[in-house]
Amino acid sequence: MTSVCTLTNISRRYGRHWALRGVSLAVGASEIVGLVGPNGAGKTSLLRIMAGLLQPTDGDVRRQSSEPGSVTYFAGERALPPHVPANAWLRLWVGRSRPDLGRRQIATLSRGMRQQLGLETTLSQCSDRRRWSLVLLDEPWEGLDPDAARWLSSQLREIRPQGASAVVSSHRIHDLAGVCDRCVFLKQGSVVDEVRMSTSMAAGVDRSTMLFEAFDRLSRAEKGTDR
Amino acid sequence: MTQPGPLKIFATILRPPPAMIAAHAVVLVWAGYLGWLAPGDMRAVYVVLLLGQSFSAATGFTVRARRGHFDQVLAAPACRMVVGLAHALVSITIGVLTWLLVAAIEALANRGHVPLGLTLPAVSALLYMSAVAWASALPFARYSSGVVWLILAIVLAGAGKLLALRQAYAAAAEPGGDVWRATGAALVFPPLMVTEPSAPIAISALLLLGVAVVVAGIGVLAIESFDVPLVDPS
Repeated sequence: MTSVCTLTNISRRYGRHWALRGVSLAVGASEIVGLVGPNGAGKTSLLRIMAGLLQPTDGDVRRQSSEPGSVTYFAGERALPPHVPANAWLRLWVGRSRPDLGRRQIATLSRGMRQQLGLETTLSQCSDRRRWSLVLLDEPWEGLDPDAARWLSSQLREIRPQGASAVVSSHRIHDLAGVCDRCVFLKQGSVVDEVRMSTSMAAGVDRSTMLFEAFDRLSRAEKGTDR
Repeated sequence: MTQPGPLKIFATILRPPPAMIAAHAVVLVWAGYLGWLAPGDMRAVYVVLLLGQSFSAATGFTVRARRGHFDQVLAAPACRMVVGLAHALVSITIGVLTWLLVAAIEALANRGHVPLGLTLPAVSALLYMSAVAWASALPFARYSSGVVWLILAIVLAGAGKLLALRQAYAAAAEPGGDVWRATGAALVFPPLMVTEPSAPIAISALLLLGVAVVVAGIGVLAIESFDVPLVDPS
C-alpha cells in the first residue's frame, strides 16, 4: 500500500529527555490512524514531526505530496491566535463569516467554540480532499459538546472515501473507535501496540472494547514498569 | 477552499492593534499640520516614524510560533523562505505605508519638490530600521526591539553620546570627512540620516541598505530553520 506519510526510526530529544525513540509508522492513503497513549507519551511531538513543524533528532520522514496545503494540522484551541476576530479567521480559511460571532475575538469565545472554530477551519482545508492530503489533529474532541463531537466524527469519516488520510491523537477511546481504521499505542516515546479495527470486526468484538482492552494492557504494563 | 497564501495569513494574524493604527493616524495628522505650517521641515515627523517603525515592525515570531499561532502556515511542505519573507513584509507594511503617505503630504506641501522621505538616505534609514526591528524581535514578543531601541536612545542622550554621533555624522560632510565613522554613527542611530541631510551620505546610505538586506536575510534564514515545539501558553 502506498503511504501518504512514512516515518522511519524517528527519535526526538528535548535536552536530555527523549520524547520519541525509534518510532516507525506509515499512514496509508484513505486511512485514519488513532494515536493513543498516556500524557507525555510523545503523541504531540509525533504529530508535529509529521506536520514538519519539528525536526526529528534521528530518523526519516517522507511525505507523498509536496503540494502546499497537503498537510493540515490543528494542535487544539489554545493554538489559535487569541486577538484575531473569529469572523476574520473564518473568512481567511473558509471564505465566509458567521453572524452570531459578530466582532468577537477568538479569545472571548468559549473553549468549545474555539475548538470547533479551529476544527472547522482545519478541515475546510481538505474540503476538496485531495488524494495524498493528510490531516493531523491533536485531541480534537476535547471541549466539544456531544453535537459537535458527532459532527467531528462524521467529518473525519467523510474524508476517507475522498482520498485524504488522518492521524488523530486522543484520550477519548469511544470517539477514536468510531472513526479509526487502526490505533497505534505509544508509551514513553515508543510504539508498544497496534490494533486494527478490521480484526475486531472479524472477531465480532466491539471496537471500543477492543481499544479499551489494549489501553488497559498498556496501563498495567506502565504500572508494572513504575514498580 | 484552497489554502490562503502566507501573506494573507500573516496579514490576519499580525494585524496591528487599534492603538498602533491610531498612533500612525495621529502622525499623519501632524504631518498635514506641519505641511501647512512649515512645509520645508518635516524632519521631526520622519524621526518619530522611525521610532514608531521600531515598534510596529517588531511583531515577534518565536513566542507566537511556539504557541501554535503559525502552525497552519509553517506546516510542511510550505516553503519556509517564502513564509519568512511574508512575515517580514507584513510586519513592516504599516510603517512603510505611513512613511509614503507623509512623503506624499510633503510633496504636496512643497509643490513638487522631492520630499525628504523619498531621498536615498531617508529610505535607507527606514529600511534599515525596519529590518533591524523586525529581525531582532523574532526571538521575542511584539514590540521588544522598539523598547530596546527606545532605551538605547535614552541612554545615548543621557550620556551625551547622541551629540557626538551627530557630530561624527555631520563631519563627513567636510572635505576628507570620515565616511566610515559617519556610517557607524548612522548604524547606531539611523534618524541621523534624516536630521542631517546635508552630509555626503550616498555611501553611508548604500552601506545601511546593505546591512538592512543582510539582517533581513538572517531573519528569513532563522525562520527557515526554526523548530517549533508546542508550548502551552498557560
